Amino acid sequence: MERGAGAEAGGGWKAAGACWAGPALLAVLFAAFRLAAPQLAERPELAALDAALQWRARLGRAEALDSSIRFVEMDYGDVARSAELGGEYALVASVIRSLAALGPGVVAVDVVYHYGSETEQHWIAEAVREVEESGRTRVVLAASASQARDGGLAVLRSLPDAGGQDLAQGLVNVEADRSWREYRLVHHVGDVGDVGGETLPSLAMAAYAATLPASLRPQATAPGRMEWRALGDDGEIAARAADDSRLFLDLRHSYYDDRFDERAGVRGRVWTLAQIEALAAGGRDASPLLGAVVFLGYGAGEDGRPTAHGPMEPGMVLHATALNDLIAGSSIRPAPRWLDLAVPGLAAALAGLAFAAIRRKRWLVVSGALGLCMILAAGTAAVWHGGLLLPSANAGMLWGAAFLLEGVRRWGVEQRVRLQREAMLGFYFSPSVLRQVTRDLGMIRPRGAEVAVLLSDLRAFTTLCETQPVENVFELLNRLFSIETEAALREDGSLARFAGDQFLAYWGAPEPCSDPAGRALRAALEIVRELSARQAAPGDELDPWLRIGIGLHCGRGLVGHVGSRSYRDYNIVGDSVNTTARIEAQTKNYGAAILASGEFIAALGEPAPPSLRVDRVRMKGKAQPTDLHAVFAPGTVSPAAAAAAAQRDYEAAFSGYLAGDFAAAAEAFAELRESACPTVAASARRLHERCASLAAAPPADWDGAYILDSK
Amino acid sequence: MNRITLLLGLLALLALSPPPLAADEARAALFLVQRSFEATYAAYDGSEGAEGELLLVAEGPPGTTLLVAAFDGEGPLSGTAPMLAPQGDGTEPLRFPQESGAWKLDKDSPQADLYVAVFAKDDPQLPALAEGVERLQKALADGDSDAALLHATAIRTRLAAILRQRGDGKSDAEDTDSTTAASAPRRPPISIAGVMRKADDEASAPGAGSAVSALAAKSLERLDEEWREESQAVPVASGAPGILMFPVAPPSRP
Repeated sequence: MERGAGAEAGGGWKAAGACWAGPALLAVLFAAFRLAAPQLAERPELAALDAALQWRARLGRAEALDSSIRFVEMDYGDVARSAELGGEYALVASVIRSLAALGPGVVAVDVVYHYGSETEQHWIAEAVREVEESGRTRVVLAASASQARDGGLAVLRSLPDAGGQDLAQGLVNVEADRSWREYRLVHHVGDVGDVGGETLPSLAMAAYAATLPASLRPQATAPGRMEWRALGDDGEIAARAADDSRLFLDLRHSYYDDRFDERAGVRGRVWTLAQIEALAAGGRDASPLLGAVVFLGYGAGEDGRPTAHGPMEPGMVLHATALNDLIAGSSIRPAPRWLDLAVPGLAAALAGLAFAAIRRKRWLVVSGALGLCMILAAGTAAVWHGGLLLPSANAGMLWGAAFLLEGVRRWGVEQRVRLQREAMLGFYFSPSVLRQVTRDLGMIRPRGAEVAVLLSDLRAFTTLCETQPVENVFELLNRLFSIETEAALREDGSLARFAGDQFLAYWGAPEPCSDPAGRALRAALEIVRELSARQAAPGDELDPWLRIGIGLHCGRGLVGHVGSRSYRDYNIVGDSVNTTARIEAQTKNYGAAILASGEFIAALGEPAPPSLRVDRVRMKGKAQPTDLHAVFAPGTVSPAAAAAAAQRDYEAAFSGYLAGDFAAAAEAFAELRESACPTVAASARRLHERCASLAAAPPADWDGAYILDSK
Repeated sequence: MNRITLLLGLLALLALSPPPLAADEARAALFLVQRSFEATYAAYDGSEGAEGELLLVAEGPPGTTLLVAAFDGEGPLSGTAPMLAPQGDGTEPLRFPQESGAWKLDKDSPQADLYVAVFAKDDPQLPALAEGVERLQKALADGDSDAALLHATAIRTRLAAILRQRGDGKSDAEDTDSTTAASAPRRPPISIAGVMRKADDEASAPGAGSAVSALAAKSLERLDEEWREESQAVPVASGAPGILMFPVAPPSRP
């Protein structure tokens, strides 16, 4: 039985709430995590940023650095050879002069020369001043901020003992965890407690400033902020500003990948000191460094760290990239705080909508995968084209987790429904049939089918009810039904009902099965065997009551839900059930435990079971006659030889009866009334009486079928 | 004068006249003009001690556009504005500065760079430069020094980029290991090596010198006919502008 469909679904609101609960919970968890541990929450975004930059380079969509940016690499070998000149400081002074001969606009030195002797510092300082007097080349030196003993930040400037504070300098500090990707164009270096302090440009900002006319260079206008005026894309002057906020470098490609420069037609991006010295002899007019911004520093062998594009990239690349970003306005900014929360929230909302709209698991998986790809693609596009680091990795993780959670939730609901169905339908179907039904509920829709029906009835049930206590009656019934249920389910039968002392099972519906008649027969024989054993060795005073008659028939049955909207039962109805009931009702008349119709016997395969055709009847209301066969359970007829002889004699007498030779048949049946086989004896007595009656008044249209008046 | 003499004279003039301008090259020459008793001119090469006035003469093939600009330190050379001169059939050679100006060169003059660029008619870089020149001219006319500085910087940056490209190409043509940067694939190092730093008391800073040569001065009256003899060719093609840069230093500096 089952309740109505409305109660099963639990209502639309409950289902909708279940779809949204997971995404809402995840959105809250992600937001809380983002607020409580922002650095940890940001790690997936940084990994996504690196991936976006890597893919852009791999796909060849990255652009080369501005053609005005060049590098001059120093290495350990140069420093070692500089001993002849007087050491590294003398080397750098010489390089600066050589570079100046090539006419760059700016030389930015990416090494902090703080600790040399005063004499060494003056070498570089003199070279710088000499170069800058020409008016063509400006030199920017490097400084760094480090933790002072008192906890504040101290600025280490280049050439402190040679007037370095009067020379243009930029900070080279770059924050990094595992790889270089962050930059601050402006630094505010303060005292402990941030009282006072000074705003200093980064090396990139200082190099950029050196490209501008002196009167238009960036000026500190507030702590950590510098402003200046520059030409916009429209050729008009616009105010620009930079501050100490964190930026991500738009790293284009590996420093060692020359493909992009080749494509852009830029040659001579990187130079060695030896090449510079040789070039300087050639003069300015053909200089490939004319007007360029040249970064002078160590290669990755001495100053290398991992970036998105390689495990060993020189530090100059960072400052050069920051300069390029400043020129082109292409730096990548972290998303504002509200976007950090809104984007995952939006992903959660869209996931909830998807869950509410999508029913099928396959589409859930497809939409989950598609959505994840779109989120990651949007994040990548924001980096490539918008210079914005969206929290796409967190949104993607939330999206994936939401779909996973929804998948688990739906699976749980399916399992719960399946268990409920099994609990409900398990009363009706064997386990194997139940598995099929729970997979496809359409199987139990109303339909007609050719079925084999088994119906049993307890003998002397009325007497039982009158003489036994109620508890014994139910105990006996449950004992009987257990035996019958087990036997039927063992043969994958479907159980129709327990009605009073009647038991009804059928085969061939809701889905066809192989050999339904054979299965029904085996179940019937198993029941009879089990009950016979209990009668032969009763365990208590109830076992002797376990005497039943079983009717077996094959025909068309109608299966489906029967009942009202509030109370239904899955059952089988139709003529086949009625006929089986009538056949069962005749079992006591023929002394047979199992009585099967001719249609049932015909449906059985070979070998046929031991049986005896005991009669041919026409049920009330039916046009066609039905043979009745008593089926003998193994071991219930003995001795076998005597029973076989009695059955032959019965068949002979029955043949005479069918032929209308009632007198002869009556005589033959009379001799069998005391047969040792109870079925033969009971059937012979019945047929003897009938033949005697028919001999006295033979019917005119005798076709061998006796009309059964009762139903 | 008899007819034969006249004929011989004309033939001599014809033989001595410079060849006509090639279709794919411009010509430019920078002269130092000295006005003492007689106005003379000579090709400028930065000779030590030479004072006077600088004068650029240039012309380009029909259909090209000449851009001439001088920059000192940060902005346009004081008293000058860049010039943009489309060239056609019969266009007079360009003179920079124009008639109304003069570029005095003495020991107090700033160092300057004089750019002469030639663009083909359809060169993609020309429109942006032309707009920049126009804005710079307007800023100078309006007395907007900030705008003038910014536009001058932008123009100079573009011209320097063009010159760098020519320098890159020239380096490739020479093709020696010492002058070509990207002559072999570069590889990242396996690990970071230490740097030994040494300090010495002695140091020497290399100096630089420049060649000095004496050039013969000619009468300024003959400039129009003879300037091409001292000129340099500036090849120009579509998408490949020609460019020359004349570094100008005051007489006391090398």
